[in-house]
Amino acid sequence: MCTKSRSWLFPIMIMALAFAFCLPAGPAAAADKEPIVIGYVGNVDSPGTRPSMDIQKMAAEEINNNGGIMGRQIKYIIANGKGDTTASVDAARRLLMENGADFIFVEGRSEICLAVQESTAPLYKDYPHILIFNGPMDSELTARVLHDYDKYKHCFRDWDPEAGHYAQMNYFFGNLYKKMGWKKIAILWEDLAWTTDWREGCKTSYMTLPTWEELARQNGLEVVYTKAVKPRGTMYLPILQQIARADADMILYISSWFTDTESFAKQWANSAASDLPINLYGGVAQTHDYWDMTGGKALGAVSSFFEFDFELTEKSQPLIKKAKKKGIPLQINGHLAYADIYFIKEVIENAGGTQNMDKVIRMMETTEMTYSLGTMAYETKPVAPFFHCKVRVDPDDPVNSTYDGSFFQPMAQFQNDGKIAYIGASCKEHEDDLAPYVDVDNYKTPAELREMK
Amino acid sequence: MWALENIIIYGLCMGAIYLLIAMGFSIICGVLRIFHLGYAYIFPLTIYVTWAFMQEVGFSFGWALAAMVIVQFALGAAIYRGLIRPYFEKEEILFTGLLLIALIVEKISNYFYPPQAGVYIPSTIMEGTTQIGHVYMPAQFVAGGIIALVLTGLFILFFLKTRIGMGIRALSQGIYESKIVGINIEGLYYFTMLLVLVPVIIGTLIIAPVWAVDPQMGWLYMNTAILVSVIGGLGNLRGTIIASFLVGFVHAAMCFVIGEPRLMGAAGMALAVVILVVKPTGLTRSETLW
Repeated sequence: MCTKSRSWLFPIMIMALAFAFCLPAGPAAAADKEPIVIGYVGNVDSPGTRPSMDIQKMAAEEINNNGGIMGRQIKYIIANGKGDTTASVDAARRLLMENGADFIFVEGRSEICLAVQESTAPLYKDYPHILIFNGPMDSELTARVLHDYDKYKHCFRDWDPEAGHYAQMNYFFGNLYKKMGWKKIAILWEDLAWTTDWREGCKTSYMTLPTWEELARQNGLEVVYTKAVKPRGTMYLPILQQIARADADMILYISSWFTDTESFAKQWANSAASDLPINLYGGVAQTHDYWDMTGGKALGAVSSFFEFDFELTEKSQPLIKKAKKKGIPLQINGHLAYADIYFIKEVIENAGGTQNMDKVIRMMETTEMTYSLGTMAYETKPVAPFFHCKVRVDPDDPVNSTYDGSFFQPMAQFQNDGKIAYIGASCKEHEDDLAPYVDVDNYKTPAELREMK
Repeated sequence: MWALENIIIYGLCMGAIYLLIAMGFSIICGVLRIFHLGYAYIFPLTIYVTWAFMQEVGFSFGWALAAMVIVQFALGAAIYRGLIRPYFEKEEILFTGLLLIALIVEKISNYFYPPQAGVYIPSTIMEGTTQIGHVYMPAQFVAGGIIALVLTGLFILFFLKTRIGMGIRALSQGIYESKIVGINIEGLYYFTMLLVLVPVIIGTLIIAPVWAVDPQMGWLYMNTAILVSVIGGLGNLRGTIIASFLVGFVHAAMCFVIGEPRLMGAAGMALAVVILVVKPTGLTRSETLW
């Protein structure tokens, strides 16, 4: 039996412990202090993308000034994709492999997002990250998440797919347009991939939806003219001449931030169709800047509008005021881009860090918060292409049903001196929420507005 | 009948605007005998310098225009002095340099005034809509068309009737011969660099209230200028005039007969291919100004 004293062990243990504490921290501990890298791949010259970058940078600075995320600072990197697919893919790969990005945003052009998604998915294993598409609509981006979850589980879309816009359009055709007395409509389409489903109908293995022409007809409207146009550099005057000849009551332009809607308004105001109301679907008309960009030629134009002066959620006005102070225009994607950064913060906090990216993905799927236009959360119903998209319409009934509170979208009209008149909601579920601020009687025809000048 | 009416009116108006856009490019090709890839810079510079003088310095529109013209002339002279003259024989450096100038102007414009900055130049000459038969057209376009024709007439008179104009024409036909007869080549080159700015500046100001204004605008208009100049015969003013209206009519036909404005660009290119196959030098003999 060993009876020797082991008192010599005590000082050795003390020394060992002291040594252990003096050693540099292990990889996990080091990661806890490293900045969280968030990258944005986009065209820095684009009027749609640049504000997204600027506002995300602002959000990152706000968070950093308040102590960061779990003590970690955000390192926000802008990678110029120049609006080019190859350059964007290279930029995304560099963000992953050289900058160690934890989150990557890609600008809202479906063609670019698809290419980045496809080329970076194989890198996920070695460079775990979250890939968020900021505003594109092509269904395939998220349909493939459901069909091949292991490969694309890290992909999210902070906006909705084409199919997510049917409920809104159904409401416009069946409600807003009827109130306006518009029966014969002309439709112009931005000739890019995101409008294809609406022009040709959504016919996929997972969903069948009608064309918007058919949707208009189902709502008792007559489509008297329809034409796809180049996003930029289009000479609209001959088109407007033909629309006037077709005896349309109004013009619906399915536009985005890539479309030169300012050029369209300039030509419309002095064309054969100058008395026909125009409804611009998306793009720079969602901000006050549009009035100045057109030199006031936007008088009478109808659009959704996101620099409103009322409180839709408790976060609406603080953001709108901050953006105004910094001179950042707030289209839909600007609101979303800002919310994305705070959403990431909440996700990381819920996941306890970024070490376990599978856990981060689970938190992306389950976290919910209020943002400036409603509810920020991702769809978890296993229905393509809605899965992993920001919530908006019910995937089981996308033509008729919008989630209550998911996305408030006031419809507005540019009136004299650039004053904004709010004229309606964009779905029946939000009529009551917007009722205090909007009134269809605020609408005036372009001719009436010109007379009031 | 409706389509024909539209083709004629739109063809004339668009052709006249294309002429303003392309005239400067054609003259540079004819006199300096270079393919001015930096031509695109003139368009955004016209808009953004005018805007900068109005917004940042507080000039009235008229004074801002005058200041912009001075800046344009100064830059035009600097480009000739600093780039074209020293690298006249080294085409690769010349083309790259000119292209870079256009890119730099675009990037600087975009840095200070991105599209959403709301740049709008109040260069409207005539407000409202003009109706000619069944055709409606912005009055600005009609006014622009008239100005284009008057300006072209003045340019032709200048080249045909004035001593300097004849000197420039002589220069366009042969440098060495011009030297022999004692023409001040250097002075005329400078003068030409400044002269070509006039139609482009006027064209840009006419277009601005009715068409796209953004830092990238120059490329779109330079494409049109190149197309028209190539069809007309590089560097020939007579050919440029014919080609401008030809392209205008083809574009109008695409809109009103085929009913597909997206094919306007393709139709213009197809026209260029057909003409160059039939007549490789363009519609009129190249390398002579008139």
